[in-house]
Amino acid sequence: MPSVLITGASRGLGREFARQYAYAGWTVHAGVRNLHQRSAIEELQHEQIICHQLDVAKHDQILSVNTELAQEPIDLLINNAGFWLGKDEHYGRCDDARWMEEFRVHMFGTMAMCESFVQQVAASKRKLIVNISSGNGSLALENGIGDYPYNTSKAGLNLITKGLAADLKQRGITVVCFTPGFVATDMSGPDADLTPHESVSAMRAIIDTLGPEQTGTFLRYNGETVPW
Amino acid sequence: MTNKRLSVVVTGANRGIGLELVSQYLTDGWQVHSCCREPELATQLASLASNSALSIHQLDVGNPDSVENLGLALSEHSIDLLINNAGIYGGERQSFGDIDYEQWARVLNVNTLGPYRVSTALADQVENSERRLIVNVSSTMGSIEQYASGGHYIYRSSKTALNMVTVNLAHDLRSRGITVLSVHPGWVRTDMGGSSADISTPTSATGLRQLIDDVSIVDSGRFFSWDGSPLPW
Repeated sequence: MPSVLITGASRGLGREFARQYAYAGWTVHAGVRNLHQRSAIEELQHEQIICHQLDVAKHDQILSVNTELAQEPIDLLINNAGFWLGKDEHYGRCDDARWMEEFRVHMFGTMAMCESFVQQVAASKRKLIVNISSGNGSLALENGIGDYPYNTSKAGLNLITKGLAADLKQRGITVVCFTPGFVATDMSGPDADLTPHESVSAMRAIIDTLGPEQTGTFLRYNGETVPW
Repeated sequence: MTNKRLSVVVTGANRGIGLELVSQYLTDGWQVHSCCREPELATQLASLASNSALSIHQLDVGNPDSVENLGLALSEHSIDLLINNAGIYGGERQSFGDIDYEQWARVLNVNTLGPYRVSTALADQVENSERRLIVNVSSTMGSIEQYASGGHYIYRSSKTALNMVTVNLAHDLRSRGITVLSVHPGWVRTDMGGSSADISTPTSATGLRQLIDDVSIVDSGRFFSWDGSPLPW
């Protein structure tokens, strides 16, 4: 069966990806920031799901999971780990350290995961990397405007996706970024349009169809192209 | 026309495009506040200092205290034009498989947070001016649309993120009548661009000044090349 490695899998979209791929029969490697947080892990109990201690801002943890999975082909790497600082990070109120933390998770974390796991992805059948971005990272859409740390770090993530697509093309790896829609998670609150189930079901259907022709694109959860 | 002299703040003014912009705006009769990290080493800038319209300020845009000090030093001035030009490339380790993450953090702090810091520190002075312009010196290397080759992740992502700062500042400062742009200076023969680049610094600076003369608030939040042509995100 194919295998997937998902970061930020203890809740929200990451947990839903883990659940759906497990029920579809995939081997699921779920990266969670706190392996000892029982509530999060119990939600992920399924014989196909293997949990790993993985904070993508910590390179030693990436290295350690990579060592564990050294011989495992990974068909699909989903760089989903992310966070939002909240409504305070607006004009004149952005905190430098917190802004940099958004860069470390969304951009550095994604890049470090790709650098680390490129061999396992290249050794798989599907050879897919999916970065979970946001419509707020689109320079053209101007969604959620005013949130400097979140918007800049997601725009940077989109740039990284485009670069990875070029750099990994020769190894047959397809890299895309998704905006998952406005999904009801701990991050977005209850006023959202979609459930995690709806968003992830739609993205999985698109991911099933991805190939080299789509590499380097920015897609809505339903497959529509999003402007940069 | 008012008789009041127009004024510009240029960061990273000790060399390259920054230095050329200082020189050209002085020639044009502007009051120029030039900023650089180490004024005592900025000999070319110092050679222009016989012109009383030039002042030189110590500024490290990566350091919040330094930016705050500049805001205090210029608190009584109106600033028609702020050019956030200071930027760094970030060294050689920018390729897939060999990324220097600490360098990446440093470059983002200077190239992305730096212009945000200086813009917020000087926004009141820009608002109190006639022209009300903030120009962020970005690069087509930050254009996601045009990024077809891979590599250069550190520099490129810092300029993409800077473009997003431009979009956000344009939105946040529109009600105060302030226009905010990202500009691509061209591939210029500077220390950063190297000697085989396309255009000279005077050509780039002349083009940028023309662009700056031509834009208005309807252009705020957009990305232009030095020759005035619009660029894709």
